[in-house]
Amino acid sequence: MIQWSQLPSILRKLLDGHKFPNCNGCSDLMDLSQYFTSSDLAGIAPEIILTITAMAVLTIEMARIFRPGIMLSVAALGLWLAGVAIAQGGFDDKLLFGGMLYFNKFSMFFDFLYLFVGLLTLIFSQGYLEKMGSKSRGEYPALILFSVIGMMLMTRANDLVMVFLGLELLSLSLYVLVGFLRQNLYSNESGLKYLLLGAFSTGFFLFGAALIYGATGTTNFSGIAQAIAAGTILSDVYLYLGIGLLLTGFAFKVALAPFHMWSPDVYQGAPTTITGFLCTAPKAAGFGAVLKVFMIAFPATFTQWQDLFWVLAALTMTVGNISALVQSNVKRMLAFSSVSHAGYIVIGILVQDMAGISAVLFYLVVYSIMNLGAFAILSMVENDEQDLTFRQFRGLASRNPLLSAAMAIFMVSLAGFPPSAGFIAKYGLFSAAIAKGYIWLVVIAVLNTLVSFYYYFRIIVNMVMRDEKQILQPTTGFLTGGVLALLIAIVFILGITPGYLLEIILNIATASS
Amino acid sequence: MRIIMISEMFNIEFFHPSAYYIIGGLLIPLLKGRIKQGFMLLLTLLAFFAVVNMPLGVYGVYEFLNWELTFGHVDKLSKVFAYIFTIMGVIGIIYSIHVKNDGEHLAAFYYIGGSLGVIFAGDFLTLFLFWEIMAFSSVFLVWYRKIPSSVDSGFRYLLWHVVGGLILFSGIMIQYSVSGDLSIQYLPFHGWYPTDLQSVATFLILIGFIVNAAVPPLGAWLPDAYSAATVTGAVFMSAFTTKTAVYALIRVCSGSEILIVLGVVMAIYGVVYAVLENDVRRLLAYHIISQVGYMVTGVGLGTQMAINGVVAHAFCHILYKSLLFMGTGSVLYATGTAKLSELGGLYKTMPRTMIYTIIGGLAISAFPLFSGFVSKSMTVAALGEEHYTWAFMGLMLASAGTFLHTGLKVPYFIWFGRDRGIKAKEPPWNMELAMIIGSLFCIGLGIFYKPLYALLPYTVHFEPYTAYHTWETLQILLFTQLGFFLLLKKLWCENTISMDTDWFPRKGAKVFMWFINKPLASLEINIIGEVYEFIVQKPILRMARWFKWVDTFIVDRTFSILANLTLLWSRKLQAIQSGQIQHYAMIMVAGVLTLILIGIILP
Amino acid sequence: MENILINNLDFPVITVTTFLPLAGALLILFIRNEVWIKWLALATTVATFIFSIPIYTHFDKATYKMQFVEIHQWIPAWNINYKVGVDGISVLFIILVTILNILCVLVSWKAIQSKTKAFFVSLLVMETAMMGVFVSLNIFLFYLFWELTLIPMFLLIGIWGGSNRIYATIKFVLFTLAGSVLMLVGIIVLYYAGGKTYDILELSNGNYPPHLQVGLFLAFFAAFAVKMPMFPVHTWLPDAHTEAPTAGSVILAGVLLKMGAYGFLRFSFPMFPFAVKLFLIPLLILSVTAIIYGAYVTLMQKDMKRLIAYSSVSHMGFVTLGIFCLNQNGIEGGILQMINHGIITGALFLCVGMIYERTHTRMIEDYGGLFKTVPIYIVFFTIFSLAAIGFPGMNAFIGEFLIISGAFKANMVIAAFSILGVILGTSYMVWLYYRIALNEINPNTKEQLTDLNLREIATLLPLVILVFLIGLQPEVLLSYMHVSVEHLLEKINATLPNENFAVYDSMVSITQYFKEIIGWT
Repeated sequence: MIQWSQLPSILRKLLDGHKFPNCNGCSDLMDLSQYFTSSDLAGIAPEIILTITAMAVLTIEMARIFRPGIMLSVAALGLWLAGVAIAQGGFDDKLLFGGMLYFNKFSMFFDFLYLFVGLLTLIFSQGYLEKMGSKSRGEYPALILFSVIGMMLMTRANDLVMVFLGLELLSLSLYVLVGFLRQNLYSNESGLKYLLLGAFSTGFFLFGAALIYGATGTTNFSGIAQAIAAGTILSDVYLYLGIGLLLTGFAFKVALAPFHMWSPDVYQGAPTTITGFLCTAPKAAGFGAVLKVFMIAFPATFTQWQDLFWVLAALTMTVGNISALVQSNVKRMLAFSSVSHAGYIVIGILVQDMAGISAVLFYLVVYSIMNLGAFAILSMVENDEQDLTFRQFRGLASRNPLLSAAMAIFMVSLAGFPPSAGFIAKYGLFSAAIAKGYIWLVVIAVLNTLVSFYYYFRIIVNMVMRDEKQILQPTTGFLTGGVLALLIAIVFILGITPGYLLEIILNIATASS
Repeated sequence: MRIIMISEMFNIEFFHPSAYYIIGGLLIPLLKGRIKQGFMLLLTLLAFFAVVNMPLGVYGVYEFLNWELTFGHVDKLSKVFAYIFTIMGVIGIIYSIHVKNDGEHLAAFYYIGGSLGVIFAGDFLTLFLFWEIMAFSSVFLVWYRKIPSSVDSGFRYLLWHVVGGLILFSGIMIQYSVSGDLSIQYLPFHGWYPTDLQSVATFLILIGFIVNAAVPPLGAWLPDAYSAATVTGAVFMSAFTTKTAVYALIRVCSGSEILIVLGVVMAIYGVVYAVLENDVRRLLAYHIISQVGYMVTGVGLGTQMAINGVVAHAFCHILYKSLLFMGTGSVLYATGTAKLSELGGLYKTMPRTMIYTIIGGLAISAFPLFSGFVSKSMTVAALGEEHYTWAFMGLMLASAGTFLHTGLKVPYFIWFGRDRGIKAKEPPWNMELAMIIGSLFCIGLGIFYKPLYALLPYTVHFEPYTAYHTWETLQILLFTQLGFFLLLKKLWCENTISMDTDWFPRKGAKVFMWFINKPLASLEINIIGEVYEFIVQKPILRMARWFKWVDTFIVDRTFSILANLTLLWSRKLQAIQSGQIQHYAMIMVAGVLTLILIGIILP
Repeated sequence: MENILINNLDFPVITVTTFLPLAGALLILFIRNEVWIKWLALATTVATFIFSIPIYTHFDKATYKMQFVEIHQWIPAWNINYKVGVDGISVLFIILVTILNILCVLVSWKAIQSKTKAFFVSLLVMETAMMGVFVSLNIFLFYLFWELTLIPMFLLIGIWGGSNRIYATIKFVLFTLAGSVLMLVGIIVLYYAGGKTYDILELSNGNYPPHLQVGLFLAFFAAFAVKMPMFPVHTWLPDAHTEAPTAGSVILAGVLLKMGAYGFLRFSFPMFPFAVKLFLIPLLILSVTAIIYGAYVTLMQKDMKRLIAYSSVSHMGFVTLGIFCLNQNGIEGGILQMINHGIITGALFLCVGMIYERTHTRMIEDYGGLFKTVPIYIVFFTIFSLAAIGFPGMNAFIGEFLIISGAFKANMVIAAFSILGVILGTSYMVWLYYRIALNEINPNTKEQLTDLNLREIATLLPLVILVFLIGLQPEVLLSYMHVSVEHLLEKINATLPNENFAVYDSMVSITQYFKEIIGWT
């Protein structure tokens, strides 16, 4: 049994070209240190582990072992190992691969978030695909693992190219996952839609990166920052244009209005578990990357972008909430709601100080938990005949009180009522914003929460207040139930005593800003 | 003997009589039959004796919030009123002791208790408290008649009193905020200046009082309610409400000139409208107004003699008016109607009742040797002394009218007139007993008036039975009697006595009757029923409807419109969400351009 | 920290009283048997009541300071403490809450047929939330409880309500939320303006610049005015009251409406005295408008519950009138009137609920002659209607008396109008009484109507006692608040000379301050 704590040292032994006894002169062949050192590899150990796991899953599938349990458990094991590896890596900041990756508490926080989300997604999708009439395949967990790797790279990147790499890795695996239900037309449509629009936005992103490179002569964050500080810039127009396009690329990923158009369609069409994944982890990654880019690369010019963020925030949350009002399909409603939540998060990015960042991080955690829970429940009650409308939730409470109670709790938390975590998260954002004097933006935000109450509580109304014969036939597993209970517990714990997490996040924020 | 017992029973000198009524009254529903009747009688007697051995002074002072409430402010004035009220309590309870409905007894007890409370109140707050108790308890005496009309008029009665009470209340409030003192003060009213809050307070308090004193037009409630009340209820109501108001006027506003005018107007008004009445109890109700007019005049005059007269008159008036109400009440009880035009010739079947009624009639018309004489003449004389000749004449006229109706018309049409062959018999023993007591008082006070005078607040230097007074009164009465028989034809209840009236100027009679019938009659109708309709009920309801409309169609609608607008925008937004990739791409491009524009413009 | 009095009872009485119901609710979650659930709920409420008694016996009436204070670290990252305590202004509401909740459990005994567990859980959670609102001395904690009241009430109305319940409950939450989110913004701004503290007492000592005061006052006003409810934003109330189950209506009328007025006393007066003075005239006008408007609309109602609901608009108008008089009588009267209204309107809702259970109609025209059919019931109904009218010797009279005397000190015209309100109040109440009690017996409901049973009498009796107790011995309650109210007034008048703005000036300066606020970021 290997001790995982020794993993880095083992790698080092492997790589730092030490002589093999029965071979002379082959050391320089084996010496890879001119390309990268062992510490680099040790730094990306989690990615490596995840890749191996993904491969392993695929291999298992090749071996015609179709028991979904096995693949899922293997993937879960891989995620867990990756987590351990990160924890073992130590908490101090590292620059890896010649400044391509910048590993710090901030990125670490995000890594854990991705792993957590990925794990939960795997657990929740257990048996879901079969229910939706698709043979379980190895790609599914493998792709999720790949997307996790991509996201990790995105928040660890210290270079626009690395960000792009991660982004693409994430996007490509998501395109497939979204279209995973082959028999389902919606799924295919949304997969294709996502692919095309995603490619489109990637174009923006690349173009922006290229412009920035042209302006500053480097793609490295710190290099860009120095160039801007030193004033050795080819032209401000290129730079700003580049930043704008970069922002557009990110805005697409995290679905800020007016670049959110794809999200409702895609979210609705995608397999529900994937929707849950899609509107939590990648969003977090996107915001993480945005934060990092604007914190490290463009701190000097940031003040000029604040108004832009202001507009984006106001627009996004308003559009998201208002559009969500009249949706009849629950998944679509949640899609719009996630748009509006992105709007709230932008407030935090706009603030851009310690309080703001910590608020964003906290919000991302809470938001991921709430959404995962909500979508998990949707995936339980869903069946492949008809799509999921509010009407179908009628009378759910009388037959499945616990399930509907869980749903209600997640909705209440999404709407931001105390004593749920959603309230604390929103509170953090608003207070950070008001500290900087963005009072009217916050007023807009709270009025939006007022609007959001209506559509979140529509589900509760349908579940508990309209007694009709129940249409939905939920399939509840022991494991999923347990995990849901855990999520609810977290929602309440974070709502009533957020102190611990806040402490952690605060010192992450202080460390990174 | 008995008296000592009482004072021993509660070895305190002052025991508030209304405690018997208000606390003791609670037990009535628990008792049955004879025991209940005995208990009620006992309570009233106890209350009476509590008054009898009540020393003057101030008792029952309670610290309440940061005011002190005085429940027992006893002086000669309040004591004499207490006497008559408790006596009246005894009589009234005897009269109504046969009634089965406990609620009615309870209402009566609280009514009397309330009035006694007002009498002994030492501060405005206590006064107001019992004032309200009176209003809310007495309304049940009307409602328990349990016929639709009585419910309506009861409702009107209550509203009148609530409004009056609240005017009084606001007066008290202003008075308090001006003087910072709640104790009852002497606030004569000499005109109203909006700038001077004190005068405003006085004005409002005065209004509050004269609503209860039934000064026209604020007295419209009185005939309306009393005629609708139950047989026994009317007896109580005739006694207490207005006299309490008179008491309050004496205490607070005596000497306000305006009251003289109002009083004379009342006195005549009451009589004139009595002419038009066909319902006996209504007629008597108008006579209450008229009689109270005398008292109000006296109060307005405010001299010692006048006050004495007022008090004495109140004392006697309670007795004979209640006697009359009891009499007509028992007629109503026996025959089921109180309409003059339907009654007649009852002297055969109800002779004793007839006697009592006539005694009452003579008393109210101030016939010498009857109680009315010794009291009314004092007030009138006081006016004479102060040389208010017009008022003097007015009251004389009024008393003539009084005799005309209660002394002659009523007995005539009830007992004599054409026999309508109504099968009636004497009322139950208790009613009769009560009437006997009443009649004894009426005669007794007329003859042995000294003890009454002794009770009065000021020492009396007035001798009713001087040749002058006696002759003057008799003159009027005889003239009136003559007039009555001459006018008999024209008093529209048809009569059977044939009589030669050729020499009487018919024209004059016609004119007189026309004047009474047309303008006044129409005015009359307005005042009683429709003043309430037009001035109180209709506007309130119309306003209410309007407000409700506003509430549903403006206030509420505004918010729902706001909500619907939001939903509307939401639907509009869905139009953009077409699902076409090219649209999405275009919108993205547009977004990029706008972002860039903003980025260029804003910094 | 000089203005607190650390717990003079070495036992966390407030925390226990506040969270006992919650504990009971959690316990109930694990019980299946319906009868046990009911008994447990009753036991919890009674226990809460018993625990709340020491707060009164050990309360030191001689000081305005906060008492039974408990302070614990809560969220150090944002330096938020868990701090609770009571003073003369808030202490009375606790007993109101505890008593009313017992009665609510009793009255729901038979009325609630479906989802019993959920019902009693929400009821108990509600109790905790309401208690918390009144005891919390940390503005964050306050907001937490304030919002927490919404969800259970949302369920109470929405699940066990009448036919139109969903519209009503959505409306209720939307209105209340609209106010409270603005208050949230106000709270955060206050946090930064008041030197980064959430402690209400420290914030109350702060002296804020005028334009900030005006802005914050408006933000808080939004929340409180909706809760009260004051005139233009009252429309949620009739729907919510009418559709809610009896217990829900009782809690709404009894406690929830009071939270608004309490907020004024706890936050607006000590923190924004300038703004209060500035808006005094408009506020008084609003109050008296509510009184008269409410009374008029009440007259026209055909549904008993709706009628009583509208009447509480009018009554709460009296409360606001009282507290905005800014003098001892007015404020004390206002507070007392809140308690009275809680008792009386609660009782009236109970009465209506009781006959509704029997006949399943709330329409007035379906009743009549109850005098003869249900004598015991009508005795209670008479007492409570008289109390509602403000009959002397009953509790509401004291309240209205104090309020009106305060109003006459503050502003004659307003006071005169309020008198008109009393008259209207009497007329609608008597009219209702006359239509259902005195009319000839109505055949529609004659046979269903049976007189009160023991449980129902036991439910109403305490309220009758309270009505007369407060009516005859108001000192019992007023003695608790004298000192605190005096101190409050000192605080208001210390910052400004005690003169009211003339209408015109206030309007001018209000507009000017609005301009400043808009420009203020």
